[in-house]
Amino acid sequence: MGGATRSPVGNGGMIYEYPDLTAPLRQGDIFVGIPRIELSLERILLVDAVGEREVKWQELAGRTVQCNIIVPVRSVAAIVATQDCDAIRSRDITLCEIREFRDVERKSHDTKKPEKWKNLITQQARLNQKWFYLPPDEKVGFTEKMGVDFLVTLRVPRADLEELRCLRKGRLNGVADEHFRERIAEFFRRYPYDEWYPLNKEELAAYAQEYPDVKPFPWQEQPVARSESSPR
Amino acid sequence: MRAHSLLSSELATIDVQTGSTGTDVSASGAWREGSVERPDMPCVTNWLPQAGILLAIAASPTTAVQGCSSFDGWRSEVATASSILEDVIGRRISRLEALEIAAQILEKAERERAELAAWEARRGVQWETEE
Repeated sequence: MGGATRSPVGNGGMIYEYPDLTAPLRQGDIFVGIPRIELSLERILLVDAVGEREVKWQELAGRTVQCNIIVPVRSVAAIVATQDCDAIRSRDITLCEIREFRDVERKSHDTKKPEKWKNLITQQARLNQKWFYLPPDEKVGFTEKMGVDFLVTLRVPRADLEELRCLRKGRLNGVADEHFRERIAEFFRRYPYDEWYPLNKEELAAYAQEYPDVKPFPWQEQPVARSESSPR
Repeated sequence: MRAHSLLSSELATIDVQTGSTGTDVSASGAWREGSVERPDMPCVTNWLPQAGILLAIAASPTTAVQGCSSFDGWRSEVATASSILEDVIGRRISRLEALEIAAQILEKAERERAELAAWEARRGVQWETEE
């Protein structure tokens, strides 16, 4: 991908740099004031010429005619997830919501000591977490430790977002962006599996004490084979 | 950037229309603009924490049909589009009630995200307790 290169350490504070208003959209751009719309498929607020009706999406799912609905929206902070090539020409830009880190990673809700913070923040290098850590930065507007929630994606028209570059408060620097790019890729590359599948019967029993809802696989229900010389 | 602002999230005041307090969802994006002047951001100063908006939607073929075999049937529905919405049965509600329901939808979504985060925090590696 061509275009302006990022400084490995940025030209600003912490892990951020601050592009000017003319800079093109890039992955890792941080916006404050992106609309996050909430939909409930159970409660669609349909609007027609007569008034409003509450319906289930199931009633509309097979229809092709355009209709109008009422949806709630909240203004949130978000980071561009769309990769740079697509951010130049695609119709839409995808962003991930940014919230206070304490609420994205609830394990940190009562964390105060730097030693504990260190453990929490650096675990994203070892575990495929659902968040990306963003340190506080006054110029970006983050007064607290923040976190990107990969589970909450937002979509906005690219041209409209380019017109609203005044809402862009910062951008990840080279080091952080490289990490962000890999983290988001890893997150969407995940696949679901039951982590207890390779445990033997005894290990599974220990696992089930912590997670009672676990259901053994067929091979885990067989008796544990023991040799005569097995220690007791 | 020529100007910047300080932002902070505020505690949940999620459902002012219904009076529900709900779970603490302070991280859900209830942004409060700081006192720092923002000459380059006049476009966001009037954002409401929450608001009902009208959204035009159109069901796409890929989401409206279950398979290629039903595509022809789907096409035939297009021809009768004018009567489609008349077939939709739903409870008639007032605009005010619709806005209240919209606020409930927003609150529910944010509460459920907070609850999921709390549930997941109880699972997995407990870094907080490790030495």
